[in-house]
Amino acid sequence: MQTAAIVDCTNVGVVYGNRPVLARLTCSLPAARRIAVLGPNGAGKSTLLKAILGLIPYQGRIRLHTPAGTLVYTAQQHEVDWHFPVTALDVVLMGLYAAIGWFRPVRAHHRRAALLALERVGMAELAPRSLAELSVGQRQRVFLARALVDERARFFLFDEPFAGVDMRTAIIMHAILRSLTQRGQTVLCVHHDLNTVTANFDHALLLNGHLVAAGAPRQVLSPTHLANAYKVPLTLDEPRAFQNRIANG
Amino acid sequence: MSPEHSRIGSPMVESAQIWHALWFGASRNAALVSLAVAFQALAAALLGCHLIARRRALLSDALSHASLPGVGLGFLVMLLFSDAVQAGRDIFITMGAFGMMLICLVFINYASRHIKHDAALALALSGFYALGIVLLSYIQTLPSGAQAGLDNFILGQSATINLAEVHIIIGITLLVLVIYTVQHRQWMLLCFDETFARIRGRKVARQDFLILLLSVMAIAIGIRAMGLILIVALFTIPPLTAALLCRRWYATLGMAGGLGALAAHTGVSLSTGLPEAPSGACVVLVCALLYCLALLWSLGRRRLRRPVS
Repeated sequence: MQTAAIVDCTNVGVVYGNRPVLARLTCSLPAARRIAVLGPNGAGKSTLLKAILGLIPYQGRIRLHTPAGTLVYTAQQHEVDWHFPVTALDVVLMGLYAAIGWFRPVRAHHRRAALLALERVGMAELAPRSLAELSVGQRQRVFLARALVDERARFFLFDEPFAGVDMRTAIIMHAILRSLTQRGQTVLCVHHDLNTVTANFDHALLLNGHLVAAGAPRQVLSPTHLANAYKVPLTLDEPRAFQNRIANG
Repeated sequence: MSPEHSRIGSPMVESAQIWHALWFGASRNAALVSLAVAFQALAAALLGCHLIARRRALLSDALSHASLPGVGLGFLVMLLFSDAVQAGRDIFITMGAFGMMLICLVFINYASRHIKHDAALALALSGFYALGIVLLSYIQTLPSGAQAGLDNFILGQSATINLAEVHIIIGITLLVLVIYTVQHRQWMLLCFDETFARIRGRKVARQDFLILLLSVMAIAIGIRAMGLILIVALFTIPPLTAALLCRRWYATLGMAGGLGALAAHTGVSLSTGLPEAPSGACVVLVCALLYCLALLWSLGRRRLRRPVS
């Protein structure tokens, strides 16, 4: 059965200066699925996310099947000022600003909602901790909590949320992403660890300046497609082997 | 105390005068000026926190230097209306400084598209400042120019501020505070995570421009007491000091504003007792002293927290 799409891209192209980053990308992303965006560095993965969000100009057409206010985005780590004087709780509360209103004060029930979101990512006890004092994995979880706290969110776009994250944190985060799609929400992740795709994502896009392949992860990650995208022969661990590695800690 | 008096051996520092000024006991006018400068310093520190977070601290330096030709042009325009030096001339000069900083801002924005941003800042800072120096040296040759005291705008001299200017300083500062109150949450988001703010539908460029516009206004009203070379210290040192002492954004803002106001009042009071000392330099010295104290406190706290190995 054909799943409803959350976004349709038709002939999408993005140019930075004179350099084309993405060309003739046509694809349809299914709703309520975990979608991995894969490809080598400079393949246009983050660019695709930014084009969908309307943060950069693009050619072609991107049709969103969800209101713009329901999109939630978490940027790559280097795009955020980690030394900004805020606590983990403050960051999560930012996810509620649209709901609170720009002028009304933050109330106790907003704080409770933010704490609940932190609890979901296993960070409740670190709520009063400064962002600068947190590890990379803890920061990623705080940003995931900021995305989760927004009740209007339907479409989550994460740019490399697993970068620098340890295996325990990765397991927690994958479980949360799974629970989101079970509630009908869509997750789009720029992802680098090809070995974890089959076990943790329902759909995959393989890019290299253009669309190399799209569909079920197992088909997308075929040796032919991988060689096309990465220009080197690649073989992946069996998904079962990866799951066993997780189970064994 | 006249300079001649001090040269023949009487005490250089009028400590009683400084003490009176510190407790607002010198005169009603002096107390009002000190309060106004402190109030302006509070707004400058508040805006400075945002400028630093947006990596635009150097922009405020370039803008304040660029106000010098505006000071000269404001004076020349005033002369067009009347050849005599009037009581209201400083309003012309403040307006001139404000206008020239806006022109400089447009120039920097335009130049940054073609050359690197820091190079554009260096170009604007030196170019506009040089133009100002040439204009001021021309004004010195005019009959009314020699006594105009425009040098006060370079190093700052709060003693020459009149009551009309006090009203302008307080009015503009109140405007900054009201706009901050309305915008505070959007500005915080902008400073922390610009992309998130954009996705939430915030007009980032508009918010940035508003912060810069208010900063230009704060510089224009502040150069009289602080001097256009040193006023950038009010935008940078109190926020940096507060960052050493506070762990949360709003606490940092409050602390920066409080320290800025305290340093401004103390510095202005000091300048009343130090003969010929520019008030701007005194305020910056107090700011720097507070920063050193905060740094020592912060280093001490870090050492105490370090676990024993």
